[in-house]
Amino acid sequence: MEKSSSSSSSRSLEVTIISAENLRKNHRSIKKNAFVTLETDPNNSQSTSMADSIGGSYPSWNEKFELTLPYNLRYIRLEVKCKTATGVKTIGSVNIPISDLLEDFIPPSCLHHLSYRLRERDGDRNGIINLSIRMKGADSYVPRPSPYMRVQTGYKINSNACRSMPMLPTGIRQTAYNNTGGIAMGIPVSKGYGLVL
Amino acid sequence: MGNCCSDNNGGGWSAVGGSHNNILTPGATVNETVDFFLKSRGYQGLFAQIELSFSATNLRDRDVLSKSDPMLVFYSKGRDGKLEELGRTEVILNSLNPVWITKYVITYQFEVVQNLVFHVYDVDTQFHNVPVKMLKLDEQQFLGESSCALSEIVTKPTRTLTQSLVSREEFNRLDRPQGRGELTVRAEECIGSKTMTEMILRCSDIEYKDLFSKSDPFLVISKIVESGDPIPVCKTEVIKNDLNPTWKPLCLNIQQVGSKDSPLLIECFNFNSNGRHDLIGEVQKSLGDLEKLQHNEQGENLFLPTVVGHNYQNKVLKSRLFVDKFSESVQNTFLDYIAGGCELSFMVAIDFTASNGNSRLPDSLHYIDPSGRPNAYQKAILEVGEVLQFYDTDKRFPAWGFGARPIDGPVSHCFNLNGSNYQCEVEGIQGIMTAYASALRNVSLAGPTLFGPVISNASIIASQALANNQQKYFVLLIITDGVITDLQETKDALVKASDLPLSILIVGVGGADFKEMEVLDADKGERLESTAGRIASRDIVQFVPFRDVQSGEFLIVQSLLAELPLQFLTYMRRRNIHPLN
Repeated sequence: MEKSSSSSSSRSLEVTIISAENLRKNHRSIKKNAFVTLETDPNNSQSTSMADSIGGSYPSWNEKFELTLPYNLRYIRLEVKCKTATGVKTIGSVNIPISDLLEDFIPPSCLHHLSYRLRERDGDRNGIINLSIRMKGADSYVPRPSPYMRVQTGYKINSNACRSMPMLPTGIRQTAYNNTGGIAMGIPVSKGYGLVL
Repeated sequence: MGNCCSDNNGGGWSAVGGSHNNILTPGATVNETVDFFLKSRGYQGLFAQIELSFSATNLRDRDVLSKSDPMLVFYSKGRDGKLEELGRTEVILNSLNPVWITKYVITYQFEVVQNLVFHVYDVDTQFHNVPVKMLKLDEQQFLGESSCALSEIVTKPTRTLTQSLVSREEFNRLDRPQGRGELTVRAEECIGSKTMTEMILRCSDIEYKDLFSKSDPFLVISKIVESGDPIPVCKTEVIKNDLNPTWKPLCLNIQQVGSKDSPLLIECFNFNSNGRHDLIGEVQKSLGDLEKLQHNEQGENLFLPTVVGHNYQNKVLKSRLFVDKFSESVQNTFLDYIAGGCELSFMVAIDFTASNGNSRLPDSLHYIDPSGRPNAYQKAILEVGEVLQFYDTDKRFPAWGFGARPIDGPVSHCFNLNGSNYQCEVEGIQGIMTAYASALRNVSLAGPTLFGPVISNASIIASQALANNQQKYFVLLIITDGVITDLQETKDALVKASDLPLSILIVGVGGADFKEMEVLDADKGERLESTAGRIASRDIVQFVPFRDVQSGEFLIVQSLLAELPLQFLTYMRRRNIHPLN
């Protein structure tokens, strides 16, 4: 998806699992012992500690993880689980697309505060998870512009309102990334407003 | 909501004034607590107590045998131009460079332009035994006057504003002659409002109060005022079925309780759904005492006032109160950031869709009245701009239009209002007004109403400041007459923008149904969710309809701006950004 330089092996993600909100199990708010597992692939997972009962169904962890980032990784998987008397139950999970970092308005190396909806196995909505992510060693990365980054135009001033030159697009705006190494931007190709303009 | 101790909030189970359920980050707790506290007292937005102190230099000498005896009278100036006296300083004898001791504490409100006027008088010797309040000002010698907005003072890095004094006749002239001296006004934020304490309270061995189960305890903390009556300050959540409960962290503002040594009444109740909660026990401690309890890891026995014969007696209970955590922190305030040099940058986007009506006809929302009476769009720009311009030093504002067809072109959903192909910025509020009028003459109104492109352009500008490590916060004002067509795309753009130093104010003009706008304003519903399941990390939208109001627009703009300082602080604290200097 993204064109990257070859020296991408050193890239890693610094993920801080901050907190979760309104966690439910069988439609009832959970009390304690919630924890989060992060995995980049099934053989590579890490977990937070178990939250105590102070937060109840709004647990907070504030635990930081370092994940090495394989080049072709598309998303990180987070699962919120809860330890009960009958074993560990999964409350909800979310796949966080790496593109949310790469295609954001701010460079991947900046701290991103992100929140995601958790889904149960059957797709039902559960609570929300709050985390922050920063990409390390990402400076050589070419970010893709957001689909919303649009051509900006003026209009031709014409006081007697007769026919005049058509409005001309003036090219793609420079984006926030140009300080990370002066990389030229591509033309956004995805859906959105491309056709409307 | 309203009364801190009322049980209409989630059936009474949730905490009020203290900790809060909707915790984004632990750091945000404090902030939300403060918000709630302020809101529960009718303060919608940010307010801060500012102490003004005054001095003057090189005053004119009016007395023959001695120097002037100056006194300062200060007024607030209403929107109708009327002066209302706020107070007077003492008379300083024989001085042309007086430093007055009298201070004035004023409540700073971000969302209002608070105009102040200062008059300096020379008080004649014959009046020196008269209390200053009783002095008739027309019998005194007028030395000069000056005026400013409170926001002009607080945005100065030194929080000090020095202005030349002028005579009444010169007051409205631009070329103000010198020679009447200078007045200096200094604004300082009262420190008490910045210190927060955070505590974790726990009780042990609570008595059974319910017949068939354990008690459902919660705490109410009240301050005891001089009359002896307790005033509830906050209450914890109810913990069900627990005789050894630990409540969520409580945050108290020192100013909220008076001082660290003010006695607080801590009452433990058993929750009863009919509202008649049974008192389990109580204890009286100041914040300082609670800190000692935490330090010594000691518990304090609760007692229960009981009637014995004709007397009240305090029955000491086995139940004890513990403080598991006690911390104090000084929070940076909105004004700390502003005085530190953080700027609020103002941006405007105007709806040029056809539903506004042909701008040449008087019934159009875009009709420019030759008599100069501003239309709804102009009013919104003027009133929001009037407040925000003080916080933007270069006063160059990006201004866009959307939903119109520039001559012969396709419909554009974000064009530069000034017609330039390169530069979206205009000079000052007047620049926005000029560009708006010029755009009306040069584009043809079309549709549909899309917000996504405008929000994205604002996001790009905001992200550039963030990436360049500039301390700036952006405010985009969108004025629209209609229902948006791209609700989901707008939500997606807002979710992405929620991580940027950006707030969006939406003003709805005209008579359309603005139900969907309310959805965007997260404080009226759920947090915004994008198609991909990403959720806005904070609320950045404030929506206000600007219609059916003849005289009260002023208040509308206030309610629009009121949330801004809190959105600003949530952003700064979340990112752990501290004021410059």
